[in-house]
Amino acid sequence: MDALMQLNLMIWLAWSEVPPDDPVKPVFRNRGFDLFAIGPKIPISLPKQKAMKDHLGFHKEAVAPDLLLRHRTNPELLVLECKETSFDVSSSSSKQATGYLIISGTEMANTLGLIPATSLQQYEATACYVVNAEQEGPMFTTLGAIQAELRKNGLHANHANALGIYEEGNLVFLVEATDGCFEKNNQVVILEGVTSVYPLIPWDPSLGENPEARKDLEERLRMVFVSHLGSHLEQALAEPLEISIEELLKGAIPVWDAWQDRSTQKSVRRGARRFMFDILKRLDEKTGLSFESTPAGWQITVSHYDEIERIRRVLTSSTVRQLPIPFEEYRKPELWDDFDGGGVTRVNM
Amino acid sequence: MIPAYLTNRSALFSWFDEYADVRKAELNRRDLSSDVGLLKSYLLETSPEGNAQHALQSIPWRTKPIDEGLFSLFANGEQSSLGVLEQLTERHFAFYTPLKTNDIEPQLKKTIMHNPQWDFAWFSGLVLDILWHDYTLPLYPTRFTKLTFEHEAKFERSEPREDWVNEVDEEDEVMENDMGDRGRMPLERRASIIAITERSRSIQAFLPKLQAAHSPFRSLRTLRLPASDHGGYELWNWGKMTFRAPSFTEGRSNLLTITKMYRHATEHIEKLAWIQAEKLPSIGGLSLHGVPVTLRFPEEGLPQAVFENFVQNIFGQSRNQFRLWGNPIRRMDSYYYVHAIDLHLWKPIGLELTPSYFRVLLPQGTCGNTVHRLVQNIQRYLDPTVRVFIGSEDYSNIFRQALGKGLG
Repeated sequence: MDALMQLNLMIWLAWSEVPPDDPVKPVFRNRGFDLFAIGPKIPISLPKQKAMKDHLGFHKEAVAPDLLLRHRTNPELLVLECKETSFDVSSSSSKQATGYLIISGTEMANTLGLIPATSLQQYEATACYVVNAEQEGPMFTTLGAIQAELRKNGLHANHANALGIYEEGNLVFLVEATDGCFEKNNQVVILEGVTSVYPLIPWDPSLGENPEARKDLEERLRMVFVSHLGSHLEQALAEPLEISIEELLKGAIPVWDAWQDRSTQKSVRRGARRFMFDILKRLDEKTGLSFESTPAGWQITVSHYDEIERIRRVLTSSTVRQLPIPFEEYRKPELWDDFDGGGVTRVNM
Repeated sequence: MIPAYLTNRSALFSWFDEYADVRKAELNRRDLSSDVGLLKSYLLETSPEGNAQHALQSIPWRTKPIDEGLFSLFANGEQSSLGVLEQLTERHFAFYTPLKTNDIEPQLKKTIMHNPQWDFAWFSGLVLDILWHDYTLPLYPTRFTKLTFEHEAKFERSEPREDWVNEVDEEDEVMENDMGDRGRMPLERRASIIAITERSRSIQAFLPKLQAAHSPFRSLRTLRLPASDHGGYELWNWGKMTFRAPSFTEGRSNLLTITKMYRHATEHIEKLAWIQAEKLPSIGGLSLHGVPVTLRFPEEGLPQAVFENFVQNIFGQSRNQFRLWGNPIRRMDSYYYVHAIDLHLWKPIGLELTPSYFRVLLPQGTCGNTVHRLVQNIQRYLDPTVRVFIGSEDYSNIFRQALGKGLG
């Protein structure tokens, strides 16, 4: 399972309120944790940065976990990071893990505004890595080594855990490396009868060429453009309707601003613009819609009320439904998110 | 048919009362005139924003205001009125007409279903069942009532589907013309339209057994709400009400109660289910609000062929009763998701489709009525036993609570 799929799955386990016998088992939610944020940026205090520099030889200004979960009743935070494989202490990813372990729960709660700065309430935090099957053991060993290093230097270290995602037939379950999270054999079923979830966070094409990524993006863009144009045609009668490509992209891809690979953004923006142009040109030829290019996108005018139904008919035609979106080949980024050393924390915004 | 001299609300409603009374007398004598229709209302939804003016402007018929909430409708170039449109809430209208079913429904269905500003109100079997259990049964246990049930296994075969928009409610025509039974359900696939007329208490004595034995008995098509005197008001699963009682006033009162229930339930669903991904300005990242809507099928799931035919047939046709458009993305065997458009309001909607459940994600602004339409159509065409949840909350309970509010 790739890291983005892992992330989407973890979101469902924390966020989704589902019927009791649902195929998705929201185990985090059932254990009292709610999804607080996807990709929040948590700054590390200056004294901690200094201590990291002095004792560990590096420092980080902030960390941005994939997910931050907050317990509904207890002062507990769960920091979740998704990785396809484990890493060892010599990896650049261990710096990211150090960041998750060194910021205490109380500091996080203060920084995120969960408690007043004057509060004496103490928060506990657990840094938890989600990895693919049989990686949770090595992952937990690495986290333990980082914890030991921090404590050896008199620094704070949060709790640590590692969860492996296993698939067996039509079951998907989480296996934890330590005792304490799941009651039964350190494992819990998270999907039953299905092995996928609806992707709330869209595929990031910079993860590499992937037919699913292409299709998913195409359909998101098609939906957003057709929906936006089709629902605003009446407005284009009175005055020209401004369509901003950037706004449409943000509508299609909630994490658009967080995509740090500019060439991917450029490729998707160019493909979307071409796709929209092809549709608008067709509408211009066949209906009473006319359009002009603007720096932000397009300016649309509809000549007469009677044209609106015809425009909508073209918009839902098989031509528009099957029109490909000409993205360029995605380029895998050369610098892979130096902020956190990998994974899918591109959702930090 | 509605006299042109009726230029105010009370005169019009009195005329409707008299009209309903005369028709009921004719029904009692089994002597309904062949050139007149029963009085009917159609409950219509606009949008969560309730932009009534916008919706009214989009109707292809001429509208003539009677007062600020009542409008006569005329076909273009015609002098005789098609009926009267009354605004009942910020987002709901009722269309009243005495025209015969055949003369009004084809054009009304086309007008509403092909117009993004409008939709019918959809009452699935789950909702009609609540009205039956919580209203008809306790209040009128000894009165005769009538329930009809409908299920058509339309997706058992992959074939071009008939358009519901072109269908006319056969039963209304039959009753209006007193021509006897002339069912016209296709024989090539499983289809059921079953009617029961009996005292309420007697129906309830055997209905659970029928439902256990034959699932279409869960898919109510019409429920007759008894009138206080005699006769009743037949509520259809697509928001139509046929007045088979001598009082327009009483039928309208029922309609107002039902509309309040419908509105409360729809708005409650929107409040729960609208998905919002909000930026957290201070710390970056996103917070996620809202819950998914889940439609669960029985343990064995939908038959594979039915599921695949549904996925392949629904999303490519812009004019179908589900009003959904998009390109299903096949993720694996029997697993699709669709970034679709709901053609009522042309708003986006996310769908996850498997034979054992459908998941619906409603972005903010997508009308909650979409859920009712989906449930009603799924009961009718896919599986009458479907269970529906908004997050973990039972869809039926939401309506049950809304009915309590609607009575207030």
